[in-house]
Amino acid sequence: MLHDTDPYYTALFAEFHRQFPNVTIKDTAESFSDLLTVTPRLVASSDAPDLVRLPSVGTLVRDHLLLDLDPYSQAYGWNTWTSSLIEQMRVAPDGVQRGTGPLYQMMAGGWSITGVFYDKRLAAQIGMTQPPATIADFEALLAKAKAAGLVPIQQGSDSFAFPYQALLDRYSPIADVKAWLYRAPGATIATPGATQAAQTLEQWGTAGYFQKDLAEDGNTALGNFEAGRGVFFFSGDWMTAPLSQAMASNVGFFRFPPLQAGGPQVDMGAPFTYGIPAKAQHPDIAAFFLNWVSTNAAARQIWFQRFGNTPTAPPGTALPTGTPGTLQADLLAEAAKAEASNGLIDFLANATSGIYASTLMPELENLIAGRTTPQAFVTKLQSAYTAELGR
Amino acid sequence: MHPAQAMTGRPRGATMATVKRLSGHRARVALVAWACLAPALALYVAFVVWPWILSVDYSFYNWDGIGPATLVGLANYARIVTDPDLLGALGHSAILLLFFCVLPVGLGLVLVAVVGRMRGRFAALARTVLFVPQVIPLVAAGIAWKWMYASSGPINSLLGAVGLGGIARPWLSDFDLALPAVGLIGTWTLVGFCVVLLLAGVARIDPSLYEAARLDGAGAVAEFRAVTLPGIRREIGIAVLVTAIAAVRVFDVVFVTTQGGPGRATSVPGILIYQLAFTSNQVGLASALGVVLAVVTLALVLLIRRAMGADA
Repeated sequence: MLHDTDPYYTALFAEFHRQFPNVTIKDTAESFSDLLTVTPRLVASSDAPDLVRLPSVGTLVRDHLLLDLDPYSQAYGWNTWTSSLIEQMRVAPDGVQRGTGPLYQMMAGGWSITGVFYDKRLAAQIGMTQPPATIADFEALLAKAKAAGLVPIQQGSDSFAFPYQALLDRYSPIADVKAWLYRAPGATIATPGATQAAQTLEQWGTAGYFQKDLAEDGNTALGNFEAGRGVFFFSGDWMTAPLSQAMASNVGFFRFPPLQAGGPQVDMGAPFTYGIPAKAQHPDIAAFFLNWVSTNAAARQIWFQRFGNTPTAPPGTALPTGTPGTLQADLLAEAAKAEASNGLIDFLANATSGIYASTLMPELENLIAGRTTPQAFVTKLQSAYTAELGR
Repeated sequence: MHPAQAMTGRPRGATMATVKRLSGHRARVALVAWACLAPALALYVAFVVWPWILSVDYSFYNWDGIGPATLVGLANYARIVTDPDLLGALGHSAILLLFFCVLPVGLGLVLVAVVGRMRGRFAALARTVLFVPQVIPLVAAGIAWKWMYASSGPINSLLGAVGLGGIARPWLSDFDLALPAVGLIGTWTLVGFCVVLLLAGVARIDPSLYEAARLDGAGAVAEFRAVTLPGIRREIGIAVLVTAIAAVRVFDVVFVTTQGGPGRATSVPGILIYQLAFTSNQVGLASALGVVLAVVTLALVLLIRRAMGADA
């Protein structure tokens, strides 16, 4: 097995070996960035691993290097698990379109949810007693924070896409967003919903709801938020550990509110994914292992202890809830709600390999700084998308 | 090519004419010469010339670097001259020419006029201090300056201390000032190089020329204009050439400080080529941009050489 360097795997393999002493796991660990460059070559070689940590399929499906996992999916029942997560791992036979077709990756370990972290002390200062029920309520809170001389949103320029997508996922029909994300033929982001989301974000920028330094990087933004220099912070549950450590019980989390009270909420959520190379010698064991990670309570506990967010599991499994009153408890509760309502979607940045660095990040900066119009932003995003996909 | 590696002129060969040999021996000598050159030439062809030819080839295709490539002729080039973002990057290069080339050479000349007259240990110290920025890797300089320009960095603290706190800001995040800010990092790095180069030129000027000027009653400024400047014309040409090339090919400083941001305020061809080729998988367009950049650089070099006199 090929995976990234994380102590999680040591503990996981030890437990697996304890339960199944007849199976030996020979594993290779690479740093995450090396993993991305090394994986395609190793998967294509005659010495391919049986299982590989695969954040994205890249061109492996098109080059017929990955095993179709549908037979295992039928056998183990994976196709009955949270579909908005499972579908992210399907790839059409053309190797480009996602969300449909055979299953080429499988999630194991855990999955992340995104939303809004808030500073409880500052929130109390502006009279926020509970998470906002609608977008309008959220905007009212932003205005109050601004009036009180606080920084309403502390956000690194590398993650402006989080508030943007949060808005997009509410203003636009989710099927349209998914079609664009999944590279369906003829998909476009130049929709009224996308433009409206861009307009709202631009208005927030003009109203001064973001920190003064718009090009601030993620680490600085995190540091500022931890130091109490921001009321809200859009991010995901991978921030549980640093935020809990820095802010203890002073930080909470809620999913971005719906358009209308009680309306649909779809948020970015993505799982840890693995693939089985087509040239694997022991694919059955690899698939068994994948299934074991999610169905075995001890394995789930290892993930939870290491990462603290929701472990992957079949529907109906009793999941950890964390200590009440902590940030972790908030996150787990929100994640459970999202999973129950099947309201999860992949990140916009994954639409193509280059869209984030080439267009999404710089143009969102321009948008919030008022240097481009919502219409121009959306048009530019679409043209970069088609240019990169060669359409 | 590191600026310090620039050659300062073709050496007038120690002549072989004094040696009269049989043509067979000359042929053997020539063979030995080629044998010595061959390894370096082979490496050069393999790693510079051949990739260059390949780049030109790729520039006529639409290619993601892995799958099949589609021939698109001059479409990539058409895109470069019509796409405002790509043109903007080239425009930013022109602005950086001011900061990387004009300013350092200008400042260098002023400093040479001042430091050039000094003698002794203080002069040596001054020269060393001025040259140190050249020794620091550009990436390290970029990181250090990024910290200096930060909201809570030393520059803003200094401004606050002298009562100018009102203009303090995160310089590298300002849409209008980010490019000049990055440009100044280049100025800081290259001034030392220009000073050392120009001083070397000054050292070659015949002191009797200065004496003659002084006898004619020339003051410091007139002396500089009449003797120093013409005497170091060749060095000025080299300095302009090297710094101009540095301006057009800049990548590391921008990558480390702003990555082309905020928005696209500091995007330069170097950054775009990297992004297009390695993140956006548009190898064809990246190659075309590379070719355009090379052509622009070549044109610049020819222009400068013509302006500075052909012997530069």
